[in-house]
Amino acid sequence: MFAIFKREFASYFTSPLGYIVLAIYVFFSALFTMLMYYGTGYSYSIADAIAPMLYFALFIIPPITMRSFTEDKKNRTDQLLLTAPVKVSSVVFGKYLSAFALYLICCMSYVLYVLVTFLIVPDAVVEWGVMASALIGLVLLGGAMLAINLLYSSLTESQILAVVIGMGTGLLVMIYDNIVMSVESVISQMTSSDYSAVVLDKLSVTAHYQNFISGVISPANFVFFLTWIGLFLFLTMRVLDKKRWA
Amino acid sequence: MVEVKNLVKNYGNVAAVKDISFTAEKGEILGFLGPNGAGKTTTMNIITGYLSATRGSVTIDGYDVLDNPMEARSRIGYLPEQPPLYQDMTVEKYLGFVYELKKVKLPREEHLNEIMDVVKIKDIRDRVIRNLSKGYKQRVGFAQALVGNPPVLILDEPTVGLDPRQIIEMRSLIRSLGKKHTVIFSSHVLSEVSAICDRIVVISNGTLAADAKTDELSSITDDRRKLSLAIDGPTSSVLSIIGEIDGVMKVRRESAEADNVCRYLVEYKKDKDVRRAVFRAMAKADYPIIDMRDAGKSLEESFLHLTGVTKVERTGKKGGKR
Repeated sequence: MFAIFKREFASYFTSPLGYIVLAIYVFFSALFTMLMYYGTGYSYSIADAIAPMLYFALFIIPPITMRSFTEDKKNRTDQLLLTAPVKVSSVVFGKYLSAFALYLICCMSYVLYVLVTFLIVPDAVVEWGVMASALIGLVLLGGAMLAINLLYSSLTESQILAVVIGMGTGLLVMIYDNIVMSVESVISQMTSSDYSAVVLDKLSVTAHYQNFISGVISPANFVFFLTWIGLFLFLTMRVLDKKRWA
Repeated sequence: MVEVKNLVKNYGNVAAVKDISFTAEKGEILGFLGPNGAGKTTTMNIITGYLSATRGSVTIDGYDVLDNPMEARSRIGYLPEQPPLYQDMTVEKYLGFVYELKKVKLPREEHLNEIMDVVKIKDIRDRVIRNLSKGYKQRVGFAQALVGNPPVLILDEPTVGLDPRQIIEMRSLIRSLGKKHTVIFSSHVLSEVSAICDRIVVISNGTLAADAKTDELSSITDDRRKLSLAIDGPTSSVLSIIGEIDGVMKVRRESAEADNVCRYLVEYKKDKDVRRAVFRAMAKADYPIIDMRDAGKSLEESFLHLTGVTKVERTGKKGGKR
């Protein structure tokens, strides 16, 4: 697993991809920090500068994983990986962790901003706890989206297709709450009662993310994201295994 | 060392491999011969564990590839038809990656250097694979298969797309490796297989057409032998003299070689060697034999006979690569 992790991670930086992702991410995270943290005289918490990264994360993540399996299929390197004495799970974890590591580095840009602020601005108010909670939320959200995008890349041979489906999923995650709300209001009108889709509500990625942003760390939110990650990594392994049995 | 038993592989309704069995012993070079689409690649993919079999089993050194995949796979070096190379890595980094991937225990530097020596890629070790020529890529792919010194090497058409000199090098490389490893090596080029292999397994349309020692393959199909002769003498009398020799079934003039010298093709029964008789008859008539050679039943002909070319209606690989 470590060999695959190392190779995949290095490959982000032997091509422009890793640098581009990092540059774009840092640009936006810096922009939000400037506008919502520095710009308001630190009256807002850094968490407010982290919150909008949700939308951004949904769209920067598909390109991170787009090559993970598509490239292997194209270059036939999957034959090397799948005939080596390595379990399928190690292959998937190795690839996942390398993508995750890149994303983690992106997220850590916030830590840098806050540290710098803390060191050079004497009257800056830093809520370390809230920041940590928000960052954990951002990382978990990214982890979940990486897992589902990894699945997409295992399903297709085309990077473009993987990215398009991934971004479509990102869009769906973004407007999920609105969809659920409209569904609820339609059903409420039809049945003329106050209907609330409890189960659908609970599946909202953004709601779980929002909890972390507001500094609430509850097991439910952790379980939600970790389950999501586990589920899609498992499905990815099944997809790879299935090819063997096709 | 490698035991394939009653292997069947279906892709949906298409049967790619229908009940193939064979074994390769230790230190043997096994040629895997068949026209395109015969099921060679599919069979090799199953042996290496890349694909599963619909039925049947493959054991490597006693380990079943499905029940004990890690043990079995650690004993195989596989060079697929298209070498599995990471284009963005340098040769050395790539081999290092394969070394780590296969969890090889041998001393790293020494082992990789030795492999690079064997396949002669030491001088390109720092180059990015993407920029290498086809021949070098093939060699790097070969090097990859050798990492970890696996006792079994599976090579899928390793000489395709190489230039004649590279092909000769590749062949001698395979031959030298065959001394220490069990090599299974596929090709649709007959002369290649007969030059390198100890044994040939011919498959056609997914079934086993023949499994024999290389020198026996030609004799298992027909009881006729052929003799090619160049004789200096008048055609009509040469034909009539040879035609009268006991055992000769057919004789005909093939071509004119020079003034008064023609080439003749003589067919005779396998159990009745007519060469001495032909020599004496020609000597007696004072028609010098310029050249006499065994036109045998060529391997090429056996191959066509065995695989029944007319039956091979399918083109392409039948999904054998995936």
